[in-house]
Amino acid sequence: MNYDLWENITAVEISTVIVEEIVDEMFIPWEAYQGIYYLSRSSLAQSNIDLSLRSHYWQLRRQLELTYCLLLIDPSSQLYNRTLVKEIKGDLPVLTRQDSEWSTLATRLPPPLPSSRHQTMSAVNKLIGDRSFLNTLQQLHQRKIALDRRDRIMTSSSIPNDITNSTYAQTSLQLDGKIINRYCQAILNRSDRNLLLQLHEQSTTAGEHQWRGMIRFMLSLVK
Amino acid sequence: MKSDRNLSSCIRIEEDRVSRQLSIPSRVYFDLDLDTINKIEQIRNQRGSLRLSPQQLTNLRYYGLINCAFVHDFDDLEIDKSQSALTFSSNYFPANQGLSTTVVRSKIDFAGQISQEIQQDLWQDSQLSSRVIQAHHWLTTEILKQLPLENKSRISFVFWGLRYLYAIALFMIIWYFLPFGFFSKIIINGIGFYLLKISIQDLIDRQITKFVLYQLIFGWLSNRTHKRQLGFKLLSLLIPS
Repeated sequence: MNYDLWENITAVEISTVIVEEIVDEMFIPWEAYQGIYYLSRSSLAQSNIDLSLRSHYWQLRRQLELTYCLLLIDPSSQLYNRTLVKEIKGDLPVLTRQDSEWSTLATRLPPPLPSSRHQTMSAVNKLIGDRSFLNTLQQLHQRKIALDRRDRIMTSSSIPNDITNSTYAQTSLQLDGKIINRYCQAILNRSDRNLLLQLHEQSTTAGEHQWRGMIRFMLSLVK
Repeated sequence: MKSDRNLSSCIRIEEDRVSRQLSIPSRVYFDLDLDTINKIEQIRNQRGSLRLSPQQLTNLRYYGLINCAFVHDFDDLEIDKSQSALTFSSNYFPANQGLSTTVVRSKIDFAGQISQEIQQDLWQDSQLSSRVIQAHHWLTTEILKQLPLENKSRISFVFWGLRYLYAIALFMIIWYFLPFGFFSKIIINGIGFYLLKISIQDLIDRQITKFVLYQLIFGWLSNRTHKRQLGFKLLSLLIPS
């Protein structure tokens, strides 16, 4: 059983968002995978995505490739492939850099859909069944949703000081005692600024209590 | 302490049916209307608490367990922090129409990422929004406060008492039957107690906890509320009172 529950938890971060609509988020691994897999320079160039965001999307694709390569050379991973270790280690310096040179390398990720009659879905299914890969995929998917949201705001929003659908206030309570507040610039000029700040203050107090309750519950289960 | 049993009927746990026998709780909703909000405000003003039925508490704990623990196999039961999050949503029913919308949602992530979402239309109505949001936070906090397992049972005295009897019996056996001197017996007894403590903690408690958690998630304790209740009861007995 895992007793190092606190490992990697350095802060409690509470975000408050006003959203247009609250819908249930669904994470379907295959859909998330293909959404990132098909991001390419040409597809981004043809899309309507705001120019300033394209490189961020492009990074998601690089991170997906990098995650897979790191698992291929990890002997403790189920995806480990001994024959590829030397080759991948040669590519890693390029893959870990944020410039675009990595795109000259051939992708090792299996295509989401079999491209020929002889290929099957088993490679993709094995990949999205791997827990480490799935964790990263989920995080990248979350980041992509945030980027999609941001893109929608940038292309459609004509209302000044609109804060809908993006975090307008965030408080980070760090374990070393530091408290960091971040606010979206747009709230400063709004007439309901004080109410928004009050709402975030409420969210923060409630959020912290709720998180503590959750931790106490988990500790009571595993002791 | 004032509380209202009827109030907890506004808590709805939605379940997903994963097989013919098994449905697992996937979402927790609060169905709020003006009447419910008034009741909540009354209890809050009197510093009362939310009263949950044992079945409701069990199903809420089960919701917590299913959404927090990630299990590989029996030997490697661990919590996956990045996958562990609980979500509580509030639906508001306006007085003049039957249709409700989700207006507030709290997502509490084990790793410390907490997100509070408020729906835009609710925010436009500043008076109502502050009442709905406060009611939502109160319900969420009250539930999370009651989730941790506590050992209140008298049976546990018997349970822990038996262990002490076991320790005393061991002490007497060593003292009377081993042909050593006084100091050697003290040392042997010390070692004996230490080993007993480790074996109870490591081998017995952890194995039972693991076994019960595993049965709750995958096994025969997973598919009915009363079995889940039994599972949580067993887990709470292992907590020293």
